[in-house]
Amino acid sequence: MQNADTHSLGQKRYYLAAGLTSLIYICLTFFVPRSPNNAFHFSQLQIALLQITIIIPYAATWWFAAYGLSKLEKYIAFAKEDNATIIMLLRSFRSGLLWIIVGTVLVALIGGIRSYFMTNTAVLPFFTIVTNYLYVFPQLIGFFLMYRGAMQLQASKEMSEHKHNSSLLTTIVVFFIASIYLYLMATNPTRQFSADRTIPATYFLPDILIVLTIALPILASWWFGFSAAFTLSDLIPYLTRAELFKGITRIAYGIWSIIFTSILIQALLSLGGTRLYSLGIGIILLIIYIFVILQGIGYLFIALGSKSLQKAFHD
Amino acid sequence: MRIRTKFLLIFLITSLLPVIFLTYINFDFSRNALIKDTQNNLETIADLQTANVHTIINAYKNRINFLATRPTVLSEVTTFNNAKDNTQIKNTLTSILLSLPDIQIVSLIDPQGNVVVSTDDSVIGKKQFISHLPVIKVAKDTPSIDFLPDTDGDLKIRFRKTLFDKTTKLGELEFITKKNIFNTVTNNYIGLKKTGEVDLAIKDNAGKIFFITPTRFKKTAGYIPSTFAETTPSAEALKKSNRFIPETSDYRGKAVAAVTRYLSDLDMGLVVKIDRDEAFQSVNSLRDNILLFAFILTLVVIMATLFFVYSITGPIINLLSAAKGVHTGDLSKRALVLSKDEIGELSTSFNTMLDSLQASHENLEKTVTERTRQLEATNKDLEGFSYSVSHDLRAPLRSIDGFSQILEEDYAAKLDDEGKHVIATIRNSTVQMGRLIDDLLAFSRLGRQALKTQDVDMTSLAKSVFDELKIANPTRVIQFNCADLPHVHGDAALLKQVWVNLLSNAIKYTKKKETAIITVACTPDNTHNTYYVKDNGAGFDMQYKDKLFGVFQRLHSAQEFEGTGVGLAIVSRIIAKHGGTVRAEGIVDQGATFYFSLLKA
Repeated sequence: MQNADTHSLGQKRYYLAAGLTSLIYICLTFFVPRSPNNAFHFSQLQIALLQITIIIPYAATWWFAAYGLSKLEKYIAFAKEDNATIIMLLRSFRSGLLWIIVGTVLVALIGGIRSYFMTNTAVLPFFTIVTNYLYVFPQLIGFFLMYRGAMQLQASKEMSEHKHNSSLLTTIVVFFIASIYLYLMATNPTRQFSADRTIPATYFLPDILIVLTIALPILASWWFGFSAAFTLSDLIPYLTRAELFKGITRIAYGIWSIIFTSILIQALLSLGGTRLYSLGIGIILLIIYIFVILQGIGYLFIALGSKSLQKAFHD
Repeated sequence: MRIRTKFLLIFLITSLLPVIFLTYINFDFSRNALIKDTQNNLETIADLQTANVHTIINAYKNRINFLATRPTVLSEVTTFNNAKDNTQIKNTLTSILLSLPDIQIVSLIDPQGNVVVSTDDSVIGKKQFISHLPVIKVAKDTPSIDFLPDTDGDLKIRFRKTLFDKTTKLGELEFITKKNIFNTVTNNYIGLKKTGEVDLAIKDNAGKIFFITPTRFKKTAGYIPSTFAETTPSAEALKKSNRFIPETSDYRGKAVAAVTRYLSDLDMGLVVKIDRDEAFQSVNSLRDNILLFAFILTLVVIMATLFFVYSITGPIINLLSAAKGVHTGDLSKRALVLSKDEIGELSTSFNTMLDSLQASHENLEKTVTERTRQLEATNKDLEGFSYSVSHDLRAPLRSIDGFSQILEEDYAAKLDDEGKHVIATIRNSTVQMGRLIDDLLAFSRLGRQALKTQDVDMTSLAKSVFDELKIANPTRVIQFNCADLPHVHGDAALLKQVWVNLLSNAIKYTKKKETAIITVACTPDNTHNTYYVKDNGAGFDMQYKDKLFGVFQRLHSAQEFEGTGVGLAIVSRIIAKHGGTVRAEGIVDQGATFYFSLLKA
């Protein structure tokens, strides 16, 4: 009974964190001072409507994440005697997810605070650099943990005979995506400085630091993420219980979505403000909605996968 | 290649190729449209400015033509030439100057080229200035134009028109402009954004390219540096070329797009150009946008492909895994039924089939176990029976032989010859029957006896057996050839029995030969050693070769060759117990060869 209460408390903390952070984020974003000379000449009403259609769905994706994490936590806690290998994998995945979600939330919160200092040239670079690093390093740790979990599963006694080497496939996919990402980054006219006062620079860092501390860690994190997802997807067919199969498959789909969300956000960042604004508001909104939907789908898959795992445990 | 890799490749290729192709087509089409737009813009400006140059030139030409043919002017020049009185002509020149606000000096030049009358007194009496730049003169009766470099780096334009009184040359009327009249053409940047410009260039007397107006980025007229001269659009224009050049480098070495015009009447090149970075900024922007969209589309396609391929191939691979499990004999494996589609139905059918197979297999196993148990019991009974029969037959046989011996020894005197012969026959028959029983017992024992395997030296075993048999046949002449035989892993006692039976047969069936030749050897292959015993004895007809190894099967009569017909059956059974095979070859009266194959040690 005490054990169940402890776990229930553990799950509640995810919802509590999601609720608190989404509230802070919504407040931060709604009360940001608005310049009447905004880039697209929106009225206050239009801005408020846009915020409602973007920020609230975006914050809602954190609830999916909290739901997924709590279910995963519950399954790990109750089913540890059930299948040690799978539990070991899910524990790595839960830790990895936690890092990624915390990174995403922190980026949103710091980004929200940053919007208050858009005209303050003394503070803006600091917030920009911190936000960029929050995009990179929690994600790197998160995907690495997932990669490690997938490798451990592959090396386990049950799965070792089904081992497939996915390094080449991963490297090809990452190379293809990296070539476009690095091109966009290299041709970004506002990497360090922006001639336009209304468009801040993207990185506020020298090129060497952009490459070493942004581009390379991002590419490494994608490599780990793709490797983990490919390896996991290769091993799923050898699971012997239908609910376990469905649950892990959905979690793998969730990881795919999170990787693609990360790629999309980095592509947008590397595009730079000038080029982004030149796309026009319609296209920018379309990309933002794609991003929010993709992130939502990712966390939803993880939530559904965790639910299936629970069902597998109860069955 | 795995089905998953195949699917991934097929889906990615079939979905990404159209994306890449359509993206490229779209980009190429839009880029060409934008380039064409830039070209049209530059062409329009070039044509407009060409017309402007001609308008300016013609205005001055018309003025000087008009003045140079006015009778009053010609009359005053004639008067001056004759009377050397410049009053009238100077007044006329001054009034001309006043009527032309953009002209700085109006002068009269005598036929020798000296300035004789001028609105600027400081130049009177001096030789007319000769520029390093060429004089533009299209026809004899048209005004000539040339360029006079100024000290501040600008150029002034000089128009000259010869004055004729009928056919007599009176001198030349000369206008010198206050400033470069072409500046209005090249200083006009309308439609040329931040980097566009119009350049006017001529070649100097030495053939070097010279800008006659300041350029946008170099505020004085001057030569194009020789490092760029050949590649510049101005050089191209002066080659009498009128065309659009989408990519070249200008006098600064910068990449530009340009339109050239050659003004043939002035031997002048006009260039309208703009930096490519600026001209094609929209193209670059378009390229980046299309690339971004292609990138996003590619991500979506890759993601959709992964979801699609993994959701299709996952259940198939799971089904395969279950099938492989069955292949290795694990009938408890089942495929997961993950959907209600065809693959789900296939998995269900596969599982149903496995259920039936497993049930049949279990039934079959049960039946086989039961039958085996019954067979083993029956076999045991049979062996026990034959052992008992053989054993029990010995006692009456011993009695018959014993009493026959008593009769032979104690009652010999009472028996006639026939009685003695009968008793002898009884005793021979009991000996023969004793042998039969021994062999039968040995044969039945083989079925129950477990193998005690060890490494066996077949050479020494065969030789020792032959030596023992030779002792029992001291009168026989036998040539025994024994090769080095490979060792074998088997039961030494039983294998000795094999050699005993085969070699004793060889000795027995060669008894009619003066010299028996018996050869023992082995032919190994990859897995087995095939040993054989060859003799030159009675041989046999090959049509009976299958009967040779049966119990009590004999091809010769007991009178001809004694024996029970059990020896080769025992050989066959011992070799079979070792997992080997036996066979025989023979020709009647020429000999026989008996082979037995055993697994290599």
